[in-house]
Amino acid sequence: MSRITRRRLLGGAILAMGSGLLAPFTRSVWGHAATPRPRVVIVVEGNCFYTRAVLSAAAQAAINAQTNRPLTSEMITDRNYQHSSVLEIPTSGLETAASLAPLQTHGVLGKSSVVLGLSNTIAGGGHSAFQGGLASARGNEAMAPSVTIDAVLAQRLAGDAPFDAIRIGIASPTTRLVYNLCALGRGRPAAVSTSPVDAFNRLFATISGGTADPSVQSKARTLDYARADVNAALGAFSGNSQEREKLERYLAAVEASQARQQRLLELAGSVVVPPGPTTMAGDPYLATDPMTRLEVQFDLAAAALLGGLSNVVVIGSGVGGGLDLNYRSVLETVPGWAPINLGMDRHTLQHGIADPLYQQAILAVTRKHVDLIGKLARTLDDTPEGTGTMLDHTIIVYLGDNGEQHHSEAREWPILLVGGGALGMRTDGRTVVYPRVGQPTNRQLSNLWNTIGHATGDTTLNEFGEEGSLRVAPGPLSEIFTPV
Amino acid sequence: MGGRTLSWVAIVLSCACGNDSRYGDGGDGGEANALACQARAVMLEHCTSCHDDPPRKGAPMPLTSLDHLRGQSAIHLGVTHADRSLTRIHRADRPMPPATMPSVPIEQVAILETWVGAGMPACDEDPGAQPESHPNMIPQDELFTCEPGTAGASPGRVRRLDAAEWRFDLPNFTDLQNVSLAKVNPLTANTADRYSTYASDETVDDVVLDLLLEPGLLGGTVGDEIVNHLNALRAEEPRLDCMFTQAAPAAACVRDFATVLLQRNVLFRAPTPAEVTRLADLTTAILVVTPDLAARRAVMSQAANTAWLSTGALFRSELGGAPEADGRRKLTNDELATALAYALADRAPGAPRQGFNGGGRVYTADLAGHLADIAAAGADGSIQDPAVLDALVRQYAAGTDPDRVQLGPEVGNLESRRTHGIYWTSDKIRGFFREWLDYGDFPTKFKDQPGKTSQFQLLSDVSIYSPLSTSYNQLQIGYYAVTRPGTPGSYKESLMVDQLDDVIARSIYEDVDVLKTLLTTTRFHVAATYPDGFGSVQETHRPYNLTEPVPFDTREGRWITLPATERSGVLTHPAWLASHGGNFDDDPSAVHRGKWIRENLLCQFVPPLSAVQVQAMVGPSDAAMTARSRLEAATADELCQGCHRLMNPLGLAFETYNHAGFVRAIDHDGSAPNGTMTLEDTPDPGLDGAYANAIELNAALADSAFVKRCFVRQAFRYYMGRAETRADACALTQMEAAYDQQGSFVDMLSALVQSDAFRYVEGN
Repeated sequence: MSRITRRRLLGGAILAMGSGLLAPFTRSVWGHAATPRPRVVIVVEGNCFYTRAVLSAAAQAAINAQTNRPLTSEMITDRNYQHSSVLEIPTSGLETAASLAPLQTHGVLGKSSVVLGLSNTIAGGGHSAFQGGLASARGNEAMAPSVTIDAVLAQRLAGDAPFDAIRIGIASPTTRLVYNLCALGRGRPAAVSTSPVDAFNRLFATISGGTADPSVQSKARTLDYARADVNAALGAFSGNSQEREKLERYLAAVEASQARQQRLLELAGSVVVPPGPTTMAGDPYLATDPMTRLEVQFDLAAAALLGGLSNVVVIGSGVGGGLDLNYRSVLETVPGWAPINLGMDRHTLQHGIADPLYQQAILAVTRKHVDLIGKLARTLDDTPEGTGTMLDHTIIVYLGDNGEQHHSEAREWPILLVGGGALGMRTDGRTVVYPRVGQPTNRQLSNLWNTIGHATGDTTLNEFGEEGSLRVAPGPLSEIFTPV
Repeated sequence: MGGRTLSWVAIVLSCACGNDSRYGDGGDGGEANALACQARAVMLEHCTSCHDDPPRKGAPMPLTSLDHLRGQSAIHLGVTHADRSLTRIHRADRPMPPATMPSVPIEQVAILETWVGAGMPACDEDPGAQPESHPNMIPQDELFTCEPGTAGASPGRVRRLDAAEWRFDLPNFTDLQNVSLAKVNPLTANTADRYSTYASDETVDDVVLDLLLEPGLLGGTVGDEIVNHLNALRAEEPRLDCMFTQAAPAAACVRDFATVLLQRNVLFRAPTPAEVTRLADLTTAILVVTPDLAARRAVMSQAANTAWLSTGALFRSELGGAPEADGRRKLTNDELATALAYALADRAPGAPRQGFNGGGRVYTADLAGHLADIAAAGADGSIQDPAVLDALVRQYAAGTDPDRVQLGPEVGNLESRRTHGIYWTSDKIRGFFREWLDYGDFPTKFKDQPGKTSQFQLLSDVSIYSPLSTSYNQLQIGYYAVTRPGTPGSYKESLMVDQLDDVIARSIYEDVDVLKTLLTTTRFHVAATYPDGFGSVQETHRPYNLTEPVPFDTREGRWITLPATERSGVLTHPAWLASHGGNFDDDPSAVHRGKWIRENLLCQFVPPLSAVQVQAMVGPSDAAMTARSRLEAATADELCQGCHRLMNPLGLAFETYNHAGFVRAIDHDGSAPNGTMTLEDTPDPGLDGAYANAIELNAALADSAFVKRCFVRQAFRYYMGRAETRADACALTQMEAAYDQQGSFVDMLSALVQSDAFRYVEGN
């Protein structure tokens, strides 16, 4: 796997990306690395990934040592847990888990950990818990229940980045925005851009196009018009100061957007922009294969992180209840998979989960996600920052959007963590297994968000989420985090 | 009662009673003023640490202002708060201050008694005083005392559109069966406001703007749909043709395009010349860089998207025209038409129709648009005629429609729409009841084992995939469509929220004794049941305690009269009970239900948890304890009772229902369900007494004139988009008088839109 790093780019090297989807593209001013900054990347797979995908042989052995219902090859494992205190398996051989081998391929196994047993029943279950995972609240398709963790982190970590958060992903090809994964607050959805073309345009069009680009000109005209209109309205305004302030705040928003446009234009010299979409056949931006589009989104995220465009990224994959993704490119790699079934969608795959072949297919889909995560982690780890690397200052979290299974009860949300070592994350190859839901020593997904809050400098998140009386214990998870 | 208040707290900081020049003699004379200031000092020393505004530590009301002390006790009718304060100071069994705090010395008690006896004169007036922090703190009778000749008016405002209003002001946004840009958009109202219509602080901040500029919204798709609508309008507006057909449209053509676009799709009023010029200039600039006729739709789309960022599109103005002799400003014709349209619907006057596939192509209105007669009345000025206002309210408030077209693309095909009742109300009438009764969020309420303690408990095991749980989930969010024998295709039954909507819509359509009907009806609208392979729709009748399936072969068959011993009115509807219930069957749902009634039917103030600063929690779940016993054990303490006495009794009447709205067959500990309770010290003495359950309570509430007035106040808040003040007494009185004629909700609403409070704004 070839990699792109700031160092190499600054040295003039242009390397091919492993999959060759996009030409090498990332570069940023070296100065970005001088001051380490916490970053968080949250990767959410819609309709879950199974514990089996991330359960190493050593972790399974540790679980089986304390249960009279030993695990063999079950996809869903939490009902077999009988331990009452947390299991810590320090060197758990993560590469032995069904879907984690790519971590070894990308050389980030030693900067990864798996966390099992976290519950999040407040979110409800079903095909998707929508915002319920990231909010630790009751998810709802149509209305955000409360703020999600990415929005909280974005506010704190934005710094001088043009975007406080980047939310991108994939859904069915006709869906451009998903509104039910992230939220700025109750009833305030935060859009996830599921079109790589849209994502590129939003993140890079201004930087790449410069003032001569038609879309940049169009946006400039739009904002100029809005600004002129609000100014005219204010000039004729006859109401009181409180009402006037509403229009003044709107004017401020327009001017802030114009300023961000300007900031992006200024970054044009310091961020190498990835190749944009074309109309050529085979353009990965327009691929029908969702994993190809997802890889583009990962690459855009990598470019944005290296370029300092944001410090918080959410990548959603088939989130928000969309179950119609067809993973043809993955299914083609599953030994024994019948060609006639290559067009199968996720929902059908999941309903066949009792069949070992279908299990292998689902695990392969998760493995592909891990591969993309590993590639992103490798890119960040190749980029020095402070006394370590960008990966050491970046926490990558991978989770499902509904919990332990296709029709979930939100009992267990398996987690893969990569990076963040310099922030105190104990991503050293360990697996941690908390007691099952209902045990007083069970811990919840909200504790993970508490932990990331602490790791990124916010110790006020101990009560994050809407759990109220359902909260087992507030605060960070000491088994995966040591304050720096 | 004077409208100004006197802040004790401010005085603590700035006034040494009687010696500060800011607080010289008031109108009551020096001796009275000195007495008043002494009394105030006593209150400050002994009372306001808890009876602050808002109250703290469980105190039920503030005593920080002269208005508070002069005001009627919400608990003891005809007694002022000051009287009650003296009574409690003297009581040995429940003294105030509480026994754990120093008592009021006898000489200071004498000061208070003398001051009350002297008619509670003012110490002085505090120019910086604030009005009550919550409208429920205003004694209700003062809100229904209209001084003849009083000229009413509201504060001038600009209000940003909310999500629904924005969505429904757009034309066909494809066939929206699923969550999408228009169903969920960033203009959601601030949930901190009691009602979504308040729009008290909403604007377009940088986050909202960012989202609006997404390619799927004003970055692209919306404009495309508007262009499609403009194309359809060419039959009515031939001056649009040139933009669609000419390679190089003349300036006049561009100006005509801008005019029609603004009037028919963006502002919904005649644009000003400056607005037309601004948009025409923009359009011309786009044409310069995109001159090809083949790309003309893209040009117009971009212009339309940009126009929707104008303040006139995103904000509606209620600032009034030229000042009248008394300083008030009457809403302009356009402002009044817009205010009326949004009081009735989630649409502007003349908002474009929307089309969807629902048994052929179905449109929600004709090409003239929604509320077209309101638009016409605004254009010709007849909107200012009270008779016209009245007629327009009646025209658009409610009606019947067998096909329920107004349910729109979300409900979809004809068969699905026909699972609803034929009765409809306008968006904002439906919205008022959803928000007042607060059941619109029912789909978000998590219920563990929804059937637990009901006769169907065995159908509700711990798995969320039990037949009962999946059916309940179906009623919450819908998922599975069903196929009815003899009918092609599949469709969905109505959701629980829709079912309560239908109950209310029928009452509004009949429009006689609406409040009483709503609080006592046993006529419910339910979903038909289907034995299907998933179990998801075969138990949907259970929340209504029905043992027999509901037939699907007739529409009328979905109207069910439930036993009067089990249900009585909307407060016994499963959607309301579940919306105001906990997650588990032994959770203290009674607190949520009682609090809602206290605040929304009795219009009394219950201090929020943030004010009382206690960790209000019941003890752990116990197989031997019911929800009632857990709640009573946790709130027996006198400090807890300061608030909980306002909530618990009212809510306990509903303990014959579980957390999800099922009728309990047996309680959590195996005992018989118990809804008994006793009300004391309610603001309507007629309500005081013992009750066996919610059936009896609802009957009493339905007969209470005090409750009716609270209902009027809630409607005022929603439709005016703000809390009522004493200055609104005439509007409230007019609403009440209209309602009292036959209990008509539409009469009441019509009275409001004809009132000065609706039609005038205060001078600047």
